[in-house]
Amino acid sequence: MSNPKEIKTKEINKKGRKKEEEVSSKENKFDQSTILEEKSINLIPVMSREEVKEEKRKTRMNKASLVSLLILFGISIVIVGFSIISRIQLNYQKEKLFKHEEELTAFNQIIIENNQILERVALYNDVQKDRYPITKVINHIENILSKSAGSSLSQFAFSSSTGINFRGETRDLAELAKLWYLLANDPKLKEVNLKSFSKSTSSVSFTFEAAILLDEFIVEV
Amino acid sequence: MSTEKIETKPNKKERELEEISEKIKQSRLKIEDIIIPLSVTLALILLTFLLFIPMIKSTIEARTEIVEIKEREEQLKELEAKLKRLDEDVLQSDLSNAKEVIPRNLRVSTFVYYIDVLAGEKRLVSRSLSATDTEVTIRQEGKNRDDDRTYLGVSSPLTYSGSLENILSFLDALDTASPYIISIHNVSLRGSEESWRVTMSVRGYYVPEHESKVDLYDSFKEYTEKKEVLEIFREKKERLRK
Repeated sequence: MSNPKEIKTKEINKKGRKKEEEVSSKENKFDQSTILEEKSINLIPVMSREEVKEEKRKTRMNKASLVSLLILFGISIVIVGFSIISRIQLNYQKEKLFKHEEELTAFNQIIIENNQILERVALYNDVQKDRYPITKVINHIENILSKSAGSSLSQFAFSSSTGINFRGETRDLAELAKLWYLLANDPKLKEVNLKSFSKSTSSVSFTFEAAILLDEFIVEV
Repeated sequence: MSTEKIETKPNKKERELEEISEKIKQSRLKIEDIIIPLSVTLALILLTFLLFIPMIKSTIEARTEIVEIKEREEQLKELEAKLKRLDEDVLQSDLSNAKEVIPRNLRVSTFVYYIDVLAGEKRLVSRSLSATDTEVTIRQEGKNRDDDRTYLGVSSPLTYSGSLENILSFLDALDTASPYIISIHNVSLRGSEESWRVTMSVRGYYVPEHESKVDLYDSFKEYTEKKEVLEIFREKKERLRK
C-alpha cells in the first residue's frame, strides 16, 4: 500500500516537472535566456523565432535587391559600352571611306572618258545588231533567178527588217514554176509567196514576197 | 495560495500570448519592406523601354551601317584596281578614234557631202537628196521601256540612179566602208537593164557631249573589254583620214 505522503510527493514532483517543462518550453521560444547562467539579466529584448525568420527573409530580399541592382548595372555597362564602341567604329569607317572617295576623285576624268567610249561602243552594237549587207540579199535573189532561164529582176524592196518583195520577168510559166520551187526550197529564205503573176505573149511577170533568215545574212561584229 | 497562483498563471499566459501575437503581427511583410525591390524592378522596366531598347536599336543600325560602309570600301578598292589597269595614253588614243567615227556632232552638210561624194565615185546621179536631224530609240531585246536607248542622228532620204552594178557597189560601200556609223533603211530598187533607180533612207549617228556626274558606286566596266569594236573604230578612222 502506498503511503499518502508518498503520493503527495509524487504529485508535487509531477507538478514540478510540468513547471520545469513549461519553463524550458518558454526558454526554447527565446534564443537567449534572459537569465544568463543565473548570474545576470539580459536587458536587450531578445527576438522571437518569427522575428528571426522575418529578419532572415528581409536579409534575403535585400541580397536579392543588391544582386538585381548589380545585374542592372552590369547590363547597362554592357549595352552603353557596346553602343559607344559601335559609334566610334562607325565614325572611323565613315572617315576612312570619305578619304578613299577623295583619293578616287583624281580618276574622275578617266571614268568620264571610259564611259564616253562605252557609249559609242553601245551605239555601234545597237546599230549593228541584226544588220546584214543589203547587197548580199539582192545578190542572193539574183543568183536564184539566174538558175531559171530567162528570168530577170525589175524591182526589189525591203518591206520590213526581214521582209522582201521583188518583181521580175521570166520566159514562161514553166520557168516561173521552177523559180517558185527554187525560192521555196532555198535554205536562206522562208514564207515564200507568189503574190501575183501575169502572162503576156512573150513573158510572164511575177511578184514574190519572202522573208530572209537573218542568221544566214548577218555580219558578225 | 493555490487559487492565487492559478489566477496569476492565466494572466501571465495571456500576456505572453498577446505579446507573441503582437510580435507575429509586427513580423509580417509590410509595404516598406518590399519598396526597394519594387523600385528596382520598376526602374529596370523603365530603363529597358526608355533607354536600353532604343540604344540597342541604334547600335544594331550602326552595325548594319558599318557593314554597308565596308561593302562600299570593297567596291572602291575594285574600282581603283580597274582604273589603275587603264593606260591613259591608250585611252586617249581609243577615245580619239571613237570620237572621229561617232563624233560629238554630225553636221548635216558633212554627212550629205560624204554620201554625195561616194555616189559620185560610183557614177550615180542624184535624183533627190535631203537630210534632217533625227532621234532614234532602240529597244533592247527582252527588256522593258526603261532600258530603251535614244540616239541622235542625221537622217537622209536619197534617190540615185545608175547601173545596178554601180548601185550595189554604192550600197556595199555605205554598208562596209563608211567611216561613219551608218544604218540604211527602206531600200527599194527599180529598173531595167539600162538604168536602175535606188531609193533609201540613210542615217548617220553622233553622240553629243554632255555633263556627266561621276558616281563612284556605279558599276564600272572597262572599255578595253570591247577590243573588236575598238579595232573597227581604228580602221574607220584611218578610212576617214584617207
